[in-house]
Amino acid sequence: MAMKYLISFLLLLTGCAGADMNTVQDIDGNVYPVVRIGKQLWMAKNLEVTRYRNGDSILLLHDDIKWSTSQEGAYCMYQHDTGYVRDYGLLYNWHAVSDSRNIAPEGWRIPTSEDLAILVASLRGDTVAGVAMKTAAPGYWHYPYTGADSSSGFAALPGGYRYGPDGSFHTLGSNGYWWHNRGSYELYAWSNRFYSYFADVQRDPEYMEFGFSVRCIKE
Amino acid sequence: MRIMLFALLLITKFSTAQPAVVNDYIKAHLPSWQLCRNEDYPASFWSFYSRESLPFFTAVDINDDNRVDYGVLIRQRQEIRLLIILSDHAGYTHYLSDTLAGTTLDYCLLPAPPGRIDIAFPAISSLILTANGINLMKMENRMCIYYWNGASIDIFKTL
Repeated sequence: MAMKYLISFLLLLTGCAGADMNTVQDIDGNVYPVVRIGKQLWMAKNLEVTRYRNGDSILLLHDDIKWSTSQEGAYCMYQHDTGYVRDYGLLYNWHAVSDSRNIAPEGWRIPTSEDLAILVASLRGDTVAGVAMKTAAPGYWHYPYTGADSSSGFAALPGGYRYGPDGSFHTLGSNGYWWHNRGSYELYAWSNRFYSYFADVQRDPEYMEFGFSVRCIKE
Repeated sequence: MRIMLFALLLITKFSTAQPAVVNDYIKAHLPSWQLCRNEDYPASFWSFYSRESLPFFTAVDINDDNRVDYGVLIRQRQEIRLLIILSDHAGYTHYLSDTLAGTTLDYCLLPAPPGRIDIAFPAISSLILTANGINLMKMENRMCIYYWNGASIDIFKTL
């Protein structure tokens, strides 16, 4: 009898842990797979939420001029094509990512540069971290997608970016850009490296109007 | 036997590192030109680059049309040029640079990611690169960047 209770308890425990660990849902009801990398839990898919945590809508900006001049949080889809959202998620400007109403689901947040340092260290350093971070699924990263092996489960895709000064879209299939709390981090089809050089909003506020993807990390 | 085995390994590495379309395109459209090879480089060049790399070859989507393009160094006797093979929905077209200075092959091609590039000498100038470009290096020095200006390949000189 005691053994039966023990097995039931273990099954319950495993089931609960699985439900919590494997997915996370945003306020719109979008569900994201979750992956453990080292001691961190990351979303394994780019964010596609259209509302802040309190239910307020994030501005959808198609217009190039409005995008390039907006001081409000805004999002868009690559080349305004909703067909890209399922795989690549949405692109957000800095104002959306840093808004106190919070773009991340409850219990999650935008990663810090320190979080990224831990992630990269657990993936054997910045010179090769891209191999494990990029998806090896065919049809996403352009040739030569140098040795991507999907091994971390991060499943990074090359979602490109929206250029701040004129609202144009670039580098889908070649480059991926994501926000962290002070700027961007990047992966390129032609490199195994993890980069974090492109945008630094403290050094140059112009980058606040750029549109990048978002991955959240568990608090 | 050892030489044959080594040659086979080289051939295997070569063919997996670089798509067949590059060789096929050169043969079909520029038959008097040859793709440069690692063996063509002087020993001093390898002080700056890994012998595992293919310095005469790079692949980037230079015109930002979501199709990968290829940059290669080609030679015809002592003349060296950069060939960019542009892919589009209909197939391939190309851009051929002017003759590069010198007859020694000490050039290298590297991808240039988007960003702002500022040059102070010989004149102050800037390039805002929104898509990927191609750096043309001479030994360890960047000579120029080949990039798409919205309509065609353009050159931004950095030395």
